[in-house]
Amino acid sequence: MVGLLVNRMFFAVAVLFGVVSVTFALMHLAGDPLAGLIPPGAPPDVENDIRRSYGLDRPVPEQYLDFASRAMRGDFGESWRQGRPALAAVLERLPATMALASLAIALAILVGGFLGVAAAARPGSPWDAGARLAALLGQAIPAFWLGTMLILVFAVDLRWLPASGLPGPAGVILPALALAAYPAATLMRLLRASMVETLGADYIRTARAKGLSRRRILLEHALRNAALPALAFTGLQAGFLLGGAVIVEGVFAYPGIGGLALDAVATRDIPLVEAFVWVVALLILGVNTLAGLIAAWIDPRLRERAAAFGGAAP
Amino acid sequence: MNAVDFAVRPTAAQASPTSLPRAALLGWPDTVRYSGSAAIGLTLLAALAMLALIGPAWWPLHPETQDLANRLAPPWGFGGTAAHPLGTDSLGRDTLARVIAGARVSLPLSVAATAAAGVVGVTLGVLAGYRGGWVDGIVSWLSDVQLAIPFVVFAIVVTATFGHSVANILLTLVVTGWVAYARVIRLQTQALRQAAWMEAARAMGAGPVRLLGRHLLPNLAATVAILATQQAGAMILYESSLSFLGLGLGGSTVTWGGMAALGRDAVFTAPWAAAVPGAVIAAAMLGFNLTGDWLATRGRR
Repeated sequence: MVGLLVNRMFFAVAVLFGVVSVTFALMHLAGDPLAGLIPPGAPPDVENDIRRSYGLDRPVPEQYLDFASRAMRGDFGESWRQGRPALAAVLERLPATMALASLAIALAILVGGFLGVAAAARPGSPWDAGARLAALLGQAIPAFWLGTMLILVFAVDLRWLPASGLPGPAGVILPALALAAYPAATLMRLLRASMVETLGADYIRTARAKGLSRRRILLEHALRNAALPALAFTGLQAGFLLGGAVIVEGVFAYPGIGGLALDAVATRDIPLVEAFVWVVALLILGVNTLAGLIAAWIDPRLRERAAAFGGAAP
Repeated sequence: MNAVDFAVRPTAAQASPTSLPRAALLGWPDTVRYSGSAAIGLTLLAALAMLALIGPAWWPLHPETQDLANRLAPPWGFGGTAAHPLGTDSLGRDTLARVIAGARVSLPLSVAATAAAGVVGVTLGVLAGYRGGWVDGIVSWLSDVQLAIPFVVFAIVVTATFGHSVANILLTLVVTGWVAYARVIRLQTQALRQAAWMEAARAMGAGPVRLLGRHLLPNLAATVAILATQQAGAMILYESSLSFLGLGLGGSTVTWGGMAALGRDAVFTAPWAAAVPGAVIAAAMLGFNLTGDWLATRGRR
């Protein structure tokens, strides 16, 4: 288990290095990071002064080494518009996004889990049909549109909840609902499929023959085995969830890191964008590593397989 | 992913068909049974494709023509008139004409992105699965790096650096999309490499090109078709989400996501302006998802 942990950590650092390199390649090699800073029509010597002050007159390999060594530690310099370290500006907004993402994943597990088990308990029943229809719609309706419709119904027509992201518990409910729909639908389908498969296994027939109650077979025997793929999937959803959070934050003007990043694009605040990418990647890697460790803890067979090669399970 | 198939009970849908040798070898279904959900999916896709192809001829109103007397007109049947059957936006532009114009952007873009991502993903997946070793290590590392950068985040980086263009959004979609192919194809190639008939072909003296092109790739075709259908729906979602956030195609290009963004600003007074483009996006997603599910059930043996 310790070996697995070390292996996973090593792999996470390697992936983070990859993310940092991609960021450098896009923003410093392919693009011009100072395009938003140099005023149009500035004389060449002013432009050269600005470039020199940001170290952009040095050879590319030197710039890359400098950028990578600082970026791996989270140092992206000062935000151009806020005049303070870019990482601090992102971290300040992080709790709001974490609250949104955690509430959304909790909702997704609760609703998706319930619908998945209910559908698998009686395949072909109206319950099953209803749950599958809900899952189909949940996967087809874009989060930004669902968010807009939720605002319309709950904030405008019913006046129950605030339309835009106010600080406080009420402001997070509608964004979390919009964000939870897709992962809830996907989890429902995954859990239903693996439950139906598990319920056909021999040991379930044995449990039934022993005269165990339907409820006990369903929850204690089948769900326990069917939950593992669902758990692995939930870990891999971290990336999708954070990407979706950016969209939902845009819809609701919610004060998280996604809204900050969208503002940073508009003002071309490059250090802030870089710090944002870094924080998101670190969060995804953290959640994936954790999900991998929990899965290995539940199922010992995964330990050997995962230790053989560090990558996340496909 | 389990199939969602309302017309056929899951046990019946998964029952293995009596397989003809060639069909079985290629992984294609040899019997095509009627499926209600697949019929809905294919009908939705056909309707959208028709809209994109002959829409402008059938509904000749220009998507940029402004009818300022009729701003935010409701759809026909909701208090509107047949002159603008789906209503108008805040500049009085006809929503139906803009839905057609958006279909001519979103559908080709998502198909192109799906195809390009498929070529990249299948190539890397086959290389990783067939060669193994350090090639496999690099491809797995690349895919984990990609998974740590969600598509919106990648789009934010690209837009912050290069601004808006078709090439940039295509880049974002392809860079985001290849991983789904590579991961599945890698595993399948690993399994197929060990197959007895691959061994036999190798023993007969087949070179790597013949082995991959004549023996391996045809056996991956069904999987690629399933993945591509599912990915095309995801591409529609990605593209419209980016356009909604203002990270997609800028300027005067009409996109469904851009229409929904414009409608969102008027959601308090004219909810239909956001509802119509959203429903069109959902219909396209539903079409691709239902068709993909159906292919996935048929392809499973």
